[in-house]
Amino acid sequence: MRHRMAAAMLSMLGLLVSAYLLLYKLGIVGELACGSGGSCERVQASKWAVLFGIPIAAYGVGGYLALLVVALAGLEGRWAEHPGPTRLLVALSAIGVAFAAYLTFLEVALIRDLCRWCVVSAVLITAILAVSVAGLRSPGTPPAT
Amino acid sequence: MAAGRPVRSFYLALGVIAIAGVALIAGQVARRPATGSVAETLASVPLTPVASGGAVGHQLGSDSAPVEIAVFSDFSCPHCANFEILDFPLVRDRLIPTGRLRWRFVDFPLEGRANSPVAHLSAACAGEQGRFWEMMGAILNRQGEWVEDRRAERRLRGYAEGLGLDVTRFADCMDTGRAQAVVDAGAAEGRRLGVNATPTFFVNGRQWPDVLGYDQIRAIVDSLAPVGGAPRGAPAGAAGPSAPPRR
Repeated sequence: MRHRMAAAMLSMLGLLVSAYLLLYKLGIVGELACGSGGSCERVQASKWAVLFGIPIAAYGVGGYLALLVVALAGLEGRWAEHPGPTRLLVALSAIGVAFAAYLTFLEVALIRDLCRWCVVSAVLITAILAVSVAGLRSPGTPPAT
Repeated sequence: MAAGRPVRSFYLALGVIAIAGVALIAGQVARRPATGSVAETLASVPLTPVASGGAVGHQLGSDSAPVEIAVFSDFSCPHCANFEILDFPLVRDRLIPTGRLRWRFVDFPLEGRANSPVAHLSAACAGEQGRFWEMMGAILNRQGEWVEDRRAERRLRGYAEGLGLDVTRFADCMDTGRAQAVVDAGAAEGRRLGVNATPTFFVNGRQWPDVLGYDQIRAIVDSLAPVGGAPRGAPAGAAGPSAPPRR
Protein backbone atom coordinates (compact mmCIF):
# COMPACT_ATOMS: atom_id res chain seq x y z
CA MET A 1 0.00 0.00 0.00
CA ARG A 2 3.02 2.23 -0.18
CA HIS A 3 1.86 3.57 -3.52
CA ARG A 4 -1.37 4.76 -1.92
CA MET A 5 0.59 6.50 0.81
CA ALA A 6 2.77 8.13 -1.83
CA ALA A 7 -0.30 9.13 -3.81
CA ALA A 8 -1.84 10.62 -0.67
CA MET A 9 1.31 12.62 0.08
CA LEU A 10 1.52 13.91 -3.47
CA SER A 11 -2.20 14.70 -3.47
CA MET A 12 -1.81 16.69 -0.26
CA LEU A 13 0.98 18.73 -1.88
CA GLY A 14 -1.13 19.24 -4.99
CA LEU A 15 -4.08 20.29 -2.86
CA LEU A 16 -1.96 22.91 -1.12
CA VAL A 17 -0.60 24.26 -4.41
CA SER A 18 -4.07 24.44 -5.95
CA ALA A 19 -5.52 26.06 -2.84
CA TYR A 20 -2.76 28.66 -2.95
CA LEU A 21 -3.50 29.48 -6.59
CA LEU A 22 -7.24 29.54 -5.90
CA LEU A 23 -6.81 31.96 -3.02
CA TYR A 24 -4.79 34.18 -5.33
CA LYS A 25 -7.44 33.97 -8.01
CA LEU A 26 -10.09 34.93 -5.45
CA GLY A 27 -8.01 37.92 -4.41
CA ILE A 28 -7.26 36.61 -0.93
CA VAL A 29 -3.54 36.15 -1.56
CA GLY A 30 -2.11 39.45 -2.75
CA GLU A 31 0.96 38.31 -4.63
CA LEU A 32 2.20 34.91 -5.68
CA ALA A 33 5.61 33.74 -4.53
CA CYS A 34 6.73 32.99 -8.04
CA GLY A 35 10.08 34.66 -8.54
CA SER A 36 10.52 37.74 -10.67
CA GLY A 37 8.80 38.41 -13.96
CA GLY A 38 5.19 37.99 -12.92
CA SER A 39 4.77 34.85 -15.00
CA CYS A 40 2.43 33.24 -12.48
CA GLU A 41 0.31 36.37 -12.30
CA ARG A 42 0.12 36.63 -16.06
CA VAL A 43 -1.02 33.05 -16.41
CA GLN A 44 -3.47 33.34 -13.53
CA ALA A 45 -4.83 36.60 -14.92
CA SER A 46 -5.41 35.18 -18.38
CA LYS A 47 -8.84 34.29 -19.65
CA TRP A 48 -7.76 30.65 -19.72
CA ALA A 49 -7.46 30.63 -15.95
CA VAL A 50 -11.25 30.30 -15.77
CA LEU A 51 -13.30 27.46 -17.24
CA PHE A 52 -17.12 27.58 -17.28
CA GLY A 53 -16.97 30.47 -14.88
CA ILE A 54 -14.93 28.54 -12.33
CA PRO A 55 -11.22 29.22 -11.73
CA ILE A 56 -8.98 26.42 -13.03
CA ALA A 57 -7.39 26.26 -9.59
CA ALA A 58 -10.76 25.24 -8.15
CA TYR A 59 -10.78 22.20 -10.41
CA GLY A 60 -7.33 21.45 -9.05
CA VAL A 61 -8.54 21.69 -5.47
CA GLY A 62 -11.45 19.37 -6.23
CA GLY A 63 -9.31 16.91 -8.14
CA TYR A 64 -6.54 16.66 -5.58
CA LEU A 65 -9.08 16.43 -2.77
CA ALA A 66 -10.75 13.51 -4.53
CA LEU A 67 -7.38 11.82 -5.05
CA LEU A 68 -6.49 12.34 -1.40
CA VAL A 69 -9.77 10.88 -0.19
CA VAL A 70 -9.44 7.85 -2.46
CA ALA A 71 -5.81 7.27 -1.46
CA LEU A 72 -6.61 7.52 2.26
CA ALA A 73 -9.70 5.35 1.94
CA GLY A 74 -7.51 2.80 0.20
CA LEU A 75 -5.47 2.47 3.37
CA GLU A 76 -8.40 1.65 5.59
CA GLY A 77 -10.38 -1.46 6.39
CA ARG A 78 -11.51 -3.72 3.64
CA TRP A 79 -10.42 -1.24 0.97
CA ALA A 80 -6.80 -1.82 1.91
CA GLU A 81 -6.78 -5.13 0.08
CA HIS A 82 -9.17 -4.11 -2.67
CA PRO A 83 -7.70 -3.06 -6.04
CA GLY A 84 -10.56 -0.60 -6.60
CA PRO A 85 -8.94 2.44 -4.96
CA THR A 86 -5.77 2.01 -6.99
CA ARG A 87 -7.73 1.72 -10.20
CA LEU A 88 -9.68 4.81 -9.28
CA LEU A 89 -6.44 6.64 -8.52
CA VAL A 90 -5.13 5.69 -11.97
CA ALA A 91 -8.32 6.86 -13.67
CA LEU A 92 -8.54 10.16 -11.79
CA SER A 93 -4.86 10.98 -12.15
CA ALA A 94 -4.93 10.10 -15.85
CA ILE A 95 -7.69 12.67 -16.31
CA GLY A 96 -5.60 15.08 -14.27
CA VAL A 97 -2.52 14.50 -16.40
CA ALA A 98 -4.51 15.09 -19.59
CA PHE A 99 -5.93 18.31 -18.14
CA ALA A 100 -2.48 19.42 -16.98
CA ALA A 101 -1.07 18.74 -20.45
CA TYR A 102 -3.80 20.90 -21.98
CA LEU A 103 -3.10 23.71 -19.51
CA THR A 104 0.64 23.50 -20.14
CA PHE A 105 -0.05 23.70 -23.87
CA LEU A 106 -2.07 26.87 -23.27
CA GLU A 107 0.76 28.37 -21.26
CA VAL A 108 3.42 27.58 -23.83
CA ALA A 109 1.51 28.16 -27.05
CA LEU A 110 -0.98 30.91 -26.26
CA ILE A 111 -0.04 32.70 -23.07
CA ARG A 112 3.67 32.24 -23.76
CA ASP A 113 4.53 32.26 -20.10
CA LEU A 114 4.97 29.44 -17.62
CA CYS A 115 3.51 29.61 -14.15
CA ARG A 116 5.92 27.76 -11.88
CA TRP A 117 3.21 26.61 -9.51
CA CYS A 118 1.27 25.24 -12.46
CA VAL A 119 4.36 23.31 -13.52
CA VAL A 120 4.71 21.98 -9.97
CA SER A 121 1.10 20.84 -10.10
CA ALA A 122 1.65 19.16 -13.47
CA VAL A 123 4.65 17.30 -12.08
CA LEU A 124 2.68 16.23 -9.01
CA ILE A 125 -0.27 14.85 -10.95
CA THR A 126 2.11 13.01 -13.27
CA ALA A 127 3.88 11.52 -10.25
CA ILE A 128 0.53 10.44 -8.78
CA LEU A 129 -0.31 8.68 -12.03
CA ALA A 130 3.12 7.01 -12.04
CA VAL A 131 2.88 5.67 -8.48
CA SER A 132 -0.72 4.59 -9.05
CA VAL A 133 0.20 2.64 -12.17
CA ALA A 134 3.08 1.10 -10.23
CA GLY A 135 0.57 0.15 -7.54
CA LEU A 136 -1.57 -1.65 -10.10
CA ARG A 137 1.38 -3.79 -11.05
CA SER A 138 2.48 -4.58 -7.51
CA PRO A 139 -0.51 -4.73 -5.16
CA GLY A 140 1.76 -4.83 -2.11
CA THR A 141 0.70 -5.78 1.36
CA PRO A 142 -2.11 -4.26 3.34
CA PRO A 143 -1.16 -2.32 6.43
CA ALA A 144 -1.88 -3.86 9.81
CA THR A 145 -4.38 -1.98 11.86
CA MET B 1 3.68 -7.80 10.01
CA ALA B 2 4.07 -4.71 12.14
CA ALA B 3 2.78 -2.22 9.65
CA GLY B 4 0.96 -0.15 12.25
CA ARG B 5 3.95 2.06 12.96
CA PRO B 6 4.60 2.90 9.28
CA VAL B 7 0.95 3.85 8.88
CA ARG B 8 1.05 6.03 11.97
CA SER B 9 4.26 7.62 10.71
CA PHE B 10 2.60 8.21 7.37
CA TYR B 11 -0.38 9.99 8.94
CA LEU B 12 2.00 12.00 11.10
CA ALA B 13 4.02 13.07 8.05
CA LEU B 14 0.84 13.88 6.12
CA GLY B 15 -0.37 16.01 9.00
CA VAL B 16 2.93 17.84 9.22
CA ILE B 17 2.83 18.59 5.48
CA ALA B 18 -0.75 19.84 5.76
CA ILE B 19 -0.02 22.08 8.72
CA ALA B 20 3.19 23.44 7.19
CA GLY B 21 1.42 24.13 3.90
CA VAL B 22 -1.49 25.89 5.55
CA ALA B 23 0.94 27.95 7.63
CA LEU B 24 2.87 29.02 4.52
CA ILE B 25 -0.30 29.99 2.70
CA ALA B 26 -1.56 31.87 5.76
CA GLY B 27 1.72 33.76 5.81
CA GLN B 28 1.15 34.77 2.19
CA VAL B 29 -2.39 35.87 2.93
CA ALA B 30 -1.17 38.00 5.81
CA ARG B 31 1.41 39.71 3.65
CA ARG B 32 -0.26 42.70 2.06
CA PRO B 33 1.17 44.59 -0.90
CA ALA B 34 3.24 47.64 0.02
CA THR B 35 0.71 50.15 -1.21
CA GLY B 36 2.69 53.00 0.30
CA SER B 37 5.09 52.65 -2.61
CA VAL B 38 2.32 53.72 -4.96
CA ALA B 39 2.23 57.19 -3.47
CA GLU B 40 6.01 57.38 -3.48
CA THR B 41 6.20 56.40 -7.13
CA LEU B 42 3.51 58.87 -8.09
CA ALA B 43 5.21 61.64 -6.19
CA SER B 44 8.42 60.97 -8.08
CA VAL B 45 7.01 61.72 -11.50
CA PRO B 46 5.69 65.04 -12.79
CA LEU B 47 2.01 65.75 -13.12
CA THR B 48 1.12 65.88 -16.81
CA PRO B 49 -2.63 65.55 -16.96
CA VAL B 50 -4.05 63.66 -19.87
CA ALA B 51 -6.87 65.51 -21.55
CA SER B 52 -10.08 64.09 -20.19
CA GLY B 53 -13.74 64.90 -20.28
CA GLY B 54 -14.14 62.71 -23.33
CA ALA B 55 -11.74 64.87 -25.31
CA VAL B 56 -9.26 62.12 -25.94
CA GLY B 57 -9.57 58.38 -26.24
CA HIS B 58 -12.28 56.04 -25.11
CA GLN B 59 -13.53 55.94 -21.55
CA LEU B 60 -14.81 53.03 -19.49
CA GLY B 61 -16.08 53.60 -16.00
CA SER B 62 -17.62 56.27 -13.87
CA ASP B 63 -16.87 59.97 -14.39
CA SER B 64 -16.68 60.28 -10.62
CA ALA B 65 -14.15 57.48 -10.13
CA PRO B 66 -11.27 58.77 -7.97
CA VAL B 67 -8.62 56.99 -10.02
CA GLU B 68 -8.15 57.36 -13.74
CA ILE B 69 -5.68 55.24 -15.66
CA ALA B 70 -5.02 56.16 -19.26
CA VAL B 71 -3.14 53.79 -21.50
CA PHE B 72 -1.53 54.88 -24.73
CA SER B 73 -1.58 51.84 -26.92
CA ASP B 74 -0.68 50.70 -30.41
CA PHE B 75 -2.71 47.86 -31.84
CA SER B 76 0.39 46.34 -33.48
CA CYS B 77 2.34 46.30 -30.23
CA PRO B 78 2.67 42.76 -28.81
CA HIS B 79 2.83 43.99 -25.22
CA CYS B 80 -0.40 45.89 -25.76
CA ALA B 81 -2.02 42.67 -26.98
CA ASN B 82 -0.54 40.85 -24.01
CA PHE B 83 -2.11 43.35 -21.65
CA GLU B 84 -5.47 43.10 -23.40
CA ILE B 85 -5.48 39.32 -23.21
CA LEU B 86 -4.02 38.80 -19.76
CA ASP B 87 -4.77 41.83 -17.64
CA PHE B 88 -7.53 43.96 -19.05
CA PRO B 89 -10.33 41.41 -18.55
CA LEU B 90 -9.64 41.47 -14.80
CA VAL B 91 -9.40 45.25 -14.71
CA ARG B 92 -12.68 45.54 -16.60
CA ASP B 93 -14.54 42.93 -14.56
CA ARG B 94 -13.13 43.50 -11.08
CA LEU B 95 -11.98 47.08 -10.71
CA ILE B 96 -13.97 49.31 -13.03
CA PRO B 97 -17.37 48.11 -11.76
CA THR B 98 -16.39 49.14 -8.23
CA GLY B 99 -16.61 52.79 -9.29
CA ARG B 100 -13.09 53.41 -8.01
CA LEU B 101 -11.37 53.25 -11.39
CA ARG B 102 -12.02 54.97 -14.69
CA TRP B 103 -10.17 53.52 -17.65
CA ARG B 104 -9.15 55.49 -20.71
CA PHE B 105 -7.77 53.97 -23.87
CA VAL B 106 -5.87 56.39 -26.07
CA ASP B 107 -4.88 55.55 -29.64
CA PHE B 108 -1.17 55.88 -30.20
CA PRO B 109 -0.25 54.15 -33.46
CA LEU B 110 3.50 53.92 -33.65
CA GLU B 111 5.36 54.98 -36.76
CA GLY B 112 6.64 52.21 -38.97
CA ARG B 113 3.80 49.81 -38.19
CA ALA B 114 2.19 49.39 -41.59
CA ASN B 115 -1.20 48.14 -40.44
CA SER B 116 -1.58 50.10 -37.23
CA PRO B 117 -3.33 53.12 -38.78
CA VAL B 118 -6.09 51.09 -40.39
CA ALA B 119 -6.54 49.03 -37.23
CA HIS B 120 -6.97 52.14 -35.10
CA LEU B 121 -9.33 53.64 -37.66
CA SER B 122 -11.44 50.49 -37.65
CA ALA B 123 -11.73 50.60 -33.87
CA ALA B 124 -12.71 54.26 -34.04
CA CYS B 125 -15.34 53.39 -36.63
CA ALA B 126 -16.68 50.69 -34.33
CA GLY B 127 -16.72 53.37 -31.64
CA GLU B 128 -19.13 55.34 -33.80
CA GLN B 129 -21.58 52.53 -33.19
CA GLY B 130 -20.75 52.31 -29.50
CA ARG B 131 -18.72 49.11 -29.96
CA PHE B 132 -15.16 50.35 -29.55
CA TRP B 133 -14.23 48.00 -26.69
CA GLU B 134 -15.48 44.89 -28.44
CA MET B 135 -13.60 45.84 -31.60
CA MET B 136 -10.48 46.62 -29.62
CA GLY B 137 -10.70 43.18 -28.03
CA ALA B 138 -11.09 41.49 -31.41
CA ILE B 139 -8.17 43.44 -32.89
CA LEU B 140 -5.78 42.74 -30.05
CA ASN B 141 -6.81 39.16 -29.41
CA ARG B 142 -6.32 38.38 -33.10
CA GLN B 143 -3.30 40.58 -33.62
CA GLY B 144 -1.31 37.77 -35.18
CA GLU B 145 -3.82 37.48 -38.02
CA TRP B 146 -3.75 41.00 -39.39
CA VAL B 147 -0.60 42.69 -38.15
CA GLU B 148 1.49 41.63 -41.13
CA ASP B 149 -1.31 40.76 -43.49
CA ARG B 150 -1.37 42.61 -46.80
CA ARG B 151 -5.15 42.52 -46.67
CA ALA B 152 -5.43 43.61 -43.07
CA GLU B 153 -8.35 45.93 -43.77
CA ARG B 154 -10.35 43.04 -45.14
CA ARG B 155 -9.74 41.09 -41.96
CA LEU B 156 -10.67 44.06 -39.80
CA ARG B 157 -13.91 44.49 -41.70
CA GLY B 158 -14.53 40.82 -41.03
CA TYR B 159 -14.12 41.39 -37.31
CA ALA B 160 -16.64 44.22 -37.47
CA GLU B 161 -19.08 41.99 -39.29
CA GLY B 162 -18.47 39.23 -36.76
CA LEU B 163 -19.33 41.62 -33.95
CA GLY B 164 -22.63 42.39 -35.62
CA LEU B 165 -21.88 45.99 -36.49
CA ASP B 166 -23.83 47.83 -39.16
CA VAL B 167 -21.40 46.91 -41.92
CA THR B 168 -22.61 49.53 -44.36
CA ARG B 169 -22.10 52.29 -41.86
CA PHE B 170 -18.78 50.79 -40.80
CA ALA B 171 -17.57 50.54 -44.41
CA ASP B 172 -18.60 54.13 -45.06
CA CYS B 173 -16.65 55.24 -42.01
CA MET B 174 -13.59 53.32 -43.14
CA ASP B 175 -13.84 54.61 -46.70
CA THR B 176 -14.29 58.24 -45.74
CA GLY B 177 -11.93 58.12 -42.75
CA ARG B 178 -14.31 60.33 -40.81
CA ALA B 179 -13.33 58.76 -37.48
CA GLN B 180 -9.66 59.43 -38.10
CA ALA B 181 -9.85 62.57 -35.98
CA VAL B 182 -10.32 60.42 -32.87
CA VAL B 183 -7.12 58.53 -33.59
CA ASP B 184 -5.21 61.67 -34.49
CA ALA B 185 -6.29 63.39 -31.27
CA GLY B 186 -4.91 60.52 -29.22
CA ALA B 187 -1.63 60.47 -31.10
CA ALA B 188 -1.27 64.22 -30.73
CA GLU B 189 -1.96 64.00 -27.01
CA GLY B 190 0.63 61.26 -26.67
CA ARG B 191 3.25 63.32 -28.45
CA ARG B 192 2.43 66.29 -26.25
CA LEU B 193 3.01 64.15 -23.19
CA GLY B 194 6.25 62.72 -24.54
CA VAL B 195 4.97 59.20 -25.05
CA ASN B 196 7.43 57.28 -27.20
CA ALA B 197 6.58 53.64 -26.50
CA THR B 198 3.55 51.51 -25.90
CA PRO B 199 1.88 50.67 -23.70
CA THR B 200 2.43 53.78 -21.61
CA PHE B 201 0.24 54.29 -18.56
CA PHE B 202 -0.80 57.49 -16.82
CA VAL B 203 -2.37 57.33 -13.40
CA ASN B 204 -4.30 60.42 -12.47
CA GLY B 205 -2.18 62.37 -14.87
CA ARG B 206 1.22 61.05 -13.90
CA GLN B 207 3.18 58.75 -16.13
CA TRP B 208 3.90 55.46 -14.45
CA PRO B 209 7.49 54.41 -15.09
CA ASP B 210 6.68 50.82 -15.96
CA VAL B 211 4.20 48.68 -17.76
CA LEU B 212 1.29 47.83 -15.50
CA GLY B 213 -0.29 44.48 -14.85
CA TYR B 214 -3.51 43.70 -13.04
CA ASP B 215 -1.85 43.22 -9.66
CA GLN B 216 -0.15 46.58 -9.83
CA ILE B 217 -3.29 48.29 -11.02
CA ARG B 218 -5.24 46.77 -8.16
CA ALA B 219 -2.56 47.93 -5.72
CA ILE B 220 -2.76 51.44 -7.15
CA VAL B 221 -6.54 51.56 -6.88
CA ASP B 222 -6.43 50.13 -3.36
CA SER B 223 -3.84 52.69 -2.39
CA LEU B 224 -5.45 55.75 -3.94
CA ALA B 225 -9.06 54.80 -3.36
CA PRO B 226 -9.27 52.21 -0.59
CA VAL B 227 -12.63 50.61 -0.05
CA GLY B 228 -14.48 52.45 2.69
CA GLY B 229 -11.60 54.81 3.39
CA ALA B 230 -10.05 58.06 2.34
CA PRO B 231 -7.42 57.98 -0.37
CA ARG B 232 -3.87 57.87 0.86
CA GLY B 233 -1.75 60.95 0.46
CA ALA B 234 -0.66 60.82 -3.12
CA PRO B 235 -0.44 63.73 -5.49
CA ALA B 236 -3.48 64.25 -7.65
CA GLY B 237 -3.04 61.91 -10.56
CA ALA B 238 -0.66 58.97 -10.70
CA ALA B 239 -0.07 55.40 -11.73
CA GLY B 240 1.08 52.03 -10.35
CA PRO B 241 4.14 49.79 -10.58
CA SER B 242 5.44 47.70 -13.52
CA ALA B 243 8.11 47.35 -16.21
CA PRO B 244 9.27 50.00 -18.65
CA PRO B 245 7.10 50.64 -21.65
CA ARG B 246 8.10 48.43 -24.49
CA ARG B 247 7.40 48.65 -28.17
